[in-house]
Amino acid sequence: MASVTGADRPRKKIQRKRLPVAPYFVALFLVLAILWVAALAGSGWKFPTPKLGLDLQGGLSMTLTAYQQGSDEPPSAETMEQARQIIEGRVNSTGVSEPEVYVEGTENIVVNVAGDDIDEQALRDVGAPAELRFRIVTNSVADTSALEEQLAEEAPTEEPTDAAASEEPTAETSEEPTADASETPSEEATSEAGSGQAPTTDEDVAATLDEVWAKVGPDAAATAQALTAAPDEATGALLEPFGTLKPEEVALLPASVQFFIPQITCETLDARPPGAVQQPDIEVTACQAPEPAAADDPSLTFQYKFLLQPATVLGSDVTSADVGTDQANLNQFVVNVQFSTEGAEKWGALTTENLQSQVAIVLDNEVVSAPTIQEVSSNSTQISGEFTADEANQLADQLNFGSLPTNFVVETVNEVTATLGVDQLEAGVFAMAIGLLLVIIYCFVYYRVIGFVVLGSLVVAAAILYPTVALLGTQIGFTMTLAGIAGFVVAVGITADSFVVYFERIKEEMAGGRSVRSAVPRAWVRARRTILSASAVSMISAVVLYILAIGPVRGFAFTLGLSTVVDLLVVFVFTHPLAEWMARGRVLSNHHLSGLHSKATPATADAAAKA
Amino acid sequence: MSTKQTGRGEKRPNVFSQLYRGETDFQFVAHRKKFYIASAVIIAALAVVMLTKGFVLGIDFAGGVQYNVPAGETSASLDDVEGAAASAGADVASGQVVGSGEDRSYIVRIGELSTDEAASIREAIAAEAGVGTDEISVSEVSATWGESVSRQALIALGVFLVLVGVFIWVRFERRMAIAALAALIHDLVLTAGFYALVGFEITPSTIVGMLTILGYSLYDTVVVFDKVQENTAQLLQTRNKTFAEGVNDAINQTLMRSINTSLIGVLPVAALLFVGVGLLGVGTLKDLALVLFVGMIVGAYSSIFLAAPWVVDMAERAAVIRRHNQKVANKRSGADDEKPARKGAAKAADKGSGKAADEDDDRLVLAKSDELPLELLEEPEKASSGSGGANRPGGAKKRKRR
Repeated sequence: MASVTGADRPRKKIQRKRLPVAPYFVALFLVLAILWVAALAGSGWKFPTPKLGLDLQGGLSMTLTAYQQGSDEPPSAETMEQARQIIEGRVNSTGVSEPEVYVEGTENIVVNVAGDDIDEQALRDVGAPAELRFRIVTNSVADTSALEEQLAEEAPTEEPTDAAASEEPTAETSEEPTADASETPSEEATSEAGSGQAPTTDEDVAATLDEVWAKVGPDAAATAQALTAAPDEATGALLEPFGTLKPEEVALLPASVQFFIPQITCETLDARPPGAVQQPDIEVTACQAPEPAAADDPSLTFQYKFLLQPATVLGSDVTSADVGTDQANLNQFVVNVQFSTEGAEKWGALTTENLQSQVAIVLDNEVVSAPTIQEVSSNSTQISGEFTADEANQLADQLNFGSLPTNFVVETVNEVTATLGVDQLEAGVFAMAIGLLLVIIYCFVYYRVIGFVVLGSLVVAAAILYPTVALLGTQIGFTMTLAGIAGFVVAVGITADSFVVYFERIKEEMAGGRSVRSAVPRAWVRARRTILSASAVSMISAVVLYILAIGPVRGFAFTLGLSTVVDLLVVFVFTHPLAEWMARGRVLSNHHLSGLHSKATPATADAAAKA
Repeated sequence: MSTKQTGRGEKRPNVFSQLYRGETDFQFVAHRKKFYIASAVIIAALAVVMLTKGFVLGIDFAGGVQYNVPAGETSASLDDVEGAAASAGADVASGQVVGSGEDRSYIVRIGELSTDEAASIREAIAAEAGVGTDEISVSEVSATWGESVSRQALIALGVFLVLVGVFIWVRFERRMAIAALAALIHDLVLTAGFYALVGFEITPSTIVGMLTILGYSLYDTVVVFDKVQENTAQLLQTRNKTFAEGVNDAINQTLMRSINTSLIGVLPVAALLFVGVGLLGVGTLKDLALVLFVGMIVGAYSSIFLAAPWVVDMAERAAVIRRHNQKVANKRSGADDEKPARKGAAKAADKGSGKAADEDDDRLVLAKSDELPLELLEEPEKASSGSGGANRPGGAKKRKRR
């Protein structure tokens, strides 16, 4: 099997270049082990399963119903589509899963999310209006009603306050009933009554300010309207009926009344229906999240209640929001917001005029934080509010995707089954299995012994892909739909091209007169170039689509990128070393077994003659 | 330009054996005009189909109707209800069970319907589920595929095409970048046209399938171009082959690779399309399977029959290549006469075209192409391994040996 170009030279070179295969297999083994252990850990030490899409395993279906203040008319179709896109953006920003978001009828938006481990509260929050307002604090008072209740009961029932504290500011707004509020709130209240958010008991809910006054009785009403400061004990007793008001009734009251009456607790204020804070030009009352009253017992909490001025800087003045950490405390997450040019002017004016005053950052109807203005700033500010990383991210997303054009309340949250029947799934998987079987048969027919290398490579690819997909499912919510599975099968088929390129190269080198031993490493050098060029194209496609696209396209990009990376990994650390290793044995030199025909004897002699 | 190859045609072993050894000698480049015309005709025809027949948009794009069937007390299963709807003429997009126990209900979603159809389907469902027609709420549902998704996808596509164009330009050359993108557009138009012709609904899977085709088409083209570049890198230094012949040899050498790759890619898709959809009726995958099936075949076709020949067309307009082809032609015509005459002619040609300028051009082209690692270049055999296998007496001898 002497080569054309001299017996010694190529042999020497091959000797020098002889590839140590063991490190590759060790590396592959390590990669596999790490992936499987991580996947097992991610699934709680059970056999990892990928997160399946809505079509395969069902999930949760949430119906959001729109209601518009001051109107019984359903929102326009454009408004609903706009809202649908914002909600979709918010749902999508949480991961690579493929939620379904669509408008049902004229005023419902249905959000379907796959999986059985969904954070229901986070799902509900995608319907939050995310109305950001910066308001100067006029007055503040500590609301200790929850604390007193807890102390009185000994058994701290801090559930409601706790929920309000740990969840990031949820959707509540005070309909800003100042003196002129009596005109507007009537329609608002009617729509609220049907909204289902507030506890709609059998009891009638007062729908107008006048009805609220009537409900608490003329004495209490008169006292309340006369209030300009916190009531003393005697008048306080007169105001007792206000403690029985429903949140949506409270929302109708003037802001000062809501603020001064101690019977109107923060718990009630936080439960006011969403939607009124859009009116930036009136005073409002809102509460901050509960704070621990005593350092040693976190279950004892109180809240600050704020009377707030009309807002001049709004969420629409924010151009972008991102998450950072507090410089003083790195475990504390904050949301940095950038203002538009116009917003920066307003913010600059606000901070200039109100140096050393408290400014409340109000999201929906809760005060997220109320820092004191220390210096004049303009371009950006920071919202800190005891956020966890998730909460901060969610708030940033909400601000980035904009506030909803209309308000929504969660109508229902239900479990839904898969959209595809089991038989559909089985049939699809069966068909794909047949397809893969055909591929394997073809490879054996065409490549004979090397078919085992192809088969082994496909198996290794599957052994890498499976835990990766499972891991991504638990980590970033990557879901597999039936189409996604089909996509993987096809992608594996396409990327099996790397092997084909390599083997065809080997054949070509051998046809050029080389022995297996010399052909395999040489073929690799050329094939590697081709494989890298072609994979680079796939990777560009995957990365660009992943960064720029949204929704199902993004999911596809992820699949493509993942299968390309896995393909490269397999061909570099498995297929190539395996082929090198086999080339040292005799199997490949037997052309009946390998299908590789070395033209060494006659053809090279001829080529030598030519040269 | 094909005299040398055609002359050996009848002495070859059967075509499969040739294919297997990468020794085929199909004249892709010489007959390129025919393929151009064929593609143009097909695209024109499909364009007419797309414009007149249009596309059928699925529920994800066009919205549809949702039936909410209370199922707390019915004994009919979701499948029964879907079946009833289907037999009333509905193309059921999805069916789900919502909630459990008394509050259980079935949600069946169906693509766009006329009012009459919607009513008759409602009755069919009511009869099957044993509930009153009034109890079934019917509401219109919007598309889930928002315009923003399409817009973002198009922006991403634009950026992607530019980047890939730049990549191929840098990695290979400008002509190949243009040809690859042109072939890509050809593939997408053809696939979309065929889809319109068949009349399947457009679903998110269809779009994903089109994107897969996009990646596949480029991938396949890049593999062919890689070989073309390798074969033509040294071409201008020799006088053996014209540029077109060099490209044609490259295509022939990667032909088996192209066939293998396409088969391996198409087999699972074909199984999905014919077994899954045809025999087992997996409706949700038929759109994906069809797009991929057509697209992959077209993608492989365009790399071989269109993209590479386009590179030849563009290259032949360059002065360097024209001069080279002229030299090859001179050499060949000279070879028919006596040898000294040929040498003289070649020298004359060299002088005539300005030797210095010529070499500069050659160097430029060479600088563009990546060289093999040095250690692999040390054997002079390299050049003949590229061309020697495909041409020349070697072929006949190899055949005898078997």
